[in-house]
Amino acid sequence: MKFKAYYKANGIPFELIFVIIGLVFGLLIIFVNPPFYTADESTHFHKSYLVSRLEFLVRNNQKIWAADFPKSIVECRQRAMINWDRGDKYSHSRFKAARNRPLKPQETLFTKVPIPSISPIPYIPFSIGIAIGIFINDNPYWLVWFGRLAGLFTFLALMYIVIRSVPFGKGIFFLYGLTPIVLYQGASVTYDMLNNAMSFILLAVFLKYAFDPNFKLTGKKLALIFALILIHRFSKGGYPLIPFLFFLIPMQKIGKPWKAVLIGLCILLCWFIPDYTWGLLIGAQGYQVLAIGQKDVYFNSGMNIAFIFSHPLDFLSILLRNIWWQAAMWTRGTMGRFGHAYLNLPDWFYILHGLVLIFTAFFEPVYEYVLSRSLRWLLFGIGLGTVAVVIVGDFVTGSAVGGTVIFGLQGRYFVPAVPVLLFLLCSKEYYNRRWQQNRWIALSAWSIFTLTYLIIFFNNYFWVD
Amino acid sequence: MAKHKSGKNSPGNLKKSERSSSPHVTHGGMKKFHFTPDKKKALIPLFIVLACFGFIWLTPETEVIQPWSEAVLLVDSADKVTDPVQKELLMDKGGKELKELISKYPFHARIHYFYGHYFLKRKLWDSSIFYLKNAIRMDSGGESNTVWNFAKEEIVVPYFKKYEILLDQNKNELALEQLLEAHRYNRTRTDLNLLLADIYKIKKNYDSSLIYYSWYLYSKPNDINVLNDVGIIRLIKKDSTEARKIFEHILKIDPNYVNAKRNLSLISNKPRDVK
Repeated sequence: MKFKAYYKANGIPFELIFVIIGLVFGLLIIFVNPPFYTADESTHFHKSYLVSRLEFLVRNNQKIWAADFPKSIVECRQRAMINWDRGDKYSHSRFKAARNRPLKPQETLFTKVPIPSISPIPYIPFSIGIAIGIFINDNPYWLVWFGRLAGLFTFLALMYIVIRSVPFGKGIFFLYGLTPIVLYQGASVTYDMLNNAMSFILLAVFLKYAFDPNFKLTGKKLALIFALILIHRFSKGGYPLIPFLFFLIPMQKIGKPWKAVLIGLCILLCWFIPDYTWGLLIGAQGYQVLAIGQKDVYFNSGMNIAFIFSHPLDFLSILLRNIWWQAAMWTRGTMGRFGHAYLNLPDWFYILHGLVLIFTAFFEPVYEYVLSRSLRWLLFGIGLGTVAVVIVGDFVTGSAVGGTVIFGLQGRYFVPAVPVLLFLLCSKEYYNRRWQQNRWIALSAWSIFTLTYLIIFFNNYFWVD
Repeated sequence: MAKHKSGKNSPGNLKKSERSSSPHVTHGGMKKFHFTPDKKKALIPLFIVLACFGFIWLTPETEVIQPWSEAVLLVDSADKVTDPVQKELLMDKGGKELKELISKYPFHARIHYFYGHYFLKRKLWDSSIFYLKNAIRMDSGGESNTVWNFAKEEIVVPYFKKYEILLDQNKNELALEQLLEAHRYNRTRTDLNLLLADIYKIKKNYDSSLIYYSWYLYSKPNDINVLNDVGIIRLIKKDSTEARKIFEHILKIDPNYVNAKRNLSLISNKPRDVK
């Protein structure tokens, strides 16, 4: 009865359907996606394993970021490196035997983990999964799956909060949260899981506060906001503008202008906190800088920044040429480009799904809320600014000195900015109550279709017999 | 800072009764669609986004390439041109660009490799060796997008050419040094290993010859002609047990190989070595 009344007033609760669909397809993704296949999953898993043993800092005589890992984990990782481009596949029968090998933690191998700068915070969910998994089945492949499971549960729980708390645009979060790449990242051992979910949470919470007529910015709420901003910041760098969505909250709710300026400065300060906490701690250990795997060209952030300032027009030309060339690839990445072999879905999938996302955002029922011009500009600035920061950041840190190619930039890096930009499309002019009440059917059906397609696609691509 | 319009639906000013009311006027249960100016205005962002989205998929992908790749493309395209003037022009332009780039970015192993490649095309062997060596040194230990492997493959060519030139000048020892130097960089190249093995065989330095034959056989383990040569060296070194094993192995690969049959019969007619 209660549910019926809720449905009549609000429609079917999106967050509940999201969790059900996300759980079913997330579980399927966990097992159909080969272990260690997700981009950098091996490195993130090793780090999560260390955190599960409460080893936050590694200590060894050679002063490098390396530790003793069970030999079985290293071997499983090496065995998982299949040449997909050549058409090699996983065999279920071969995998069955490997699944039964125990961890044997006493037999270890000294292995490099080349990401000391990332704090342990994004690895906490996975480490909990791994720690529990050791008691159930300590086979290394199973440990990856336990890590992924814990990640998926965390992702779904956070997305539940996002969809529940956002005052409008639930359909946007529902559909984008179930977009193949987003759910795939959510069901993998990678820091992107927490980073994506926290970016969505910040947007949802600030929209909720902005449009809640009873909202008052109390000390408790401010503490909660900064806690969320810090978790977001510690989970991954590269998204400094997302916390500034705080300014969606109207001035009259913040209070005096000096308060807003102070909060803005504190948000800015939050950006540097990881450098002056975890960064200092790592710096004090005196680890050697490990040579990166690519040495054919020289990378130097300082020289690239100097180039931007000394040749602004040349830089602009590089930027535009790369956008022209790579925009399709980056767009594919925001919807589904998977793992270290950069597996693409067919283009019709991206075009259709992109259009569905655009029209869902456009018809999202917001008639009762006014997205004023200033709000739209703020969303536009932060959304596009985030995209720009990611592109320029990649040019500075990941591109060869003197080069014209923005190198190694993945479309999935733009995931946190996509909902921000989609909210710009929301329009109250085309509100339709019937669509508001029943859109869950259409969006669920579309999500089930896309995710079923993804599972079949993965199964055919990765597995044989 | 977002300043919201002070309309009745601005955030913070909403009342429950206002939120539940629909903005559409219905007539006899049928919704009437008015294409109001506001509705038209609301379509603008949609059209902009759709246009951008369409643009992404409809524009041809024009690949951006690094300036050093562009320069080496000129060098390589010179090969495809038949007109000698045009060929020279392309080669010159590519070389000039690479020279400029290497002085600007001396720290890129890739440019050193391309410049070495350019000198190889120009048949300037010493310069080619110099830059290819630089590329190998600078990129050593690289794991992805490597050039050291290509440079190691290419560096053999100028050494070979220098070997031929010195051989023509009867500077045999100096010529051999070129091959040994090339071998330092590329131990798996079969023609190099075979040549060195043959040279040492002629010089009756059988131990060295066997070393290079073994390098060769590492890549081509079933080359029966070379196996036969190894067997013969073993015989010369009076190691007939090992030689027999080799000839028997050859006959397993090719039972009709006459040389091995003949050598095996030679061993069988001799008394066995006493060790």
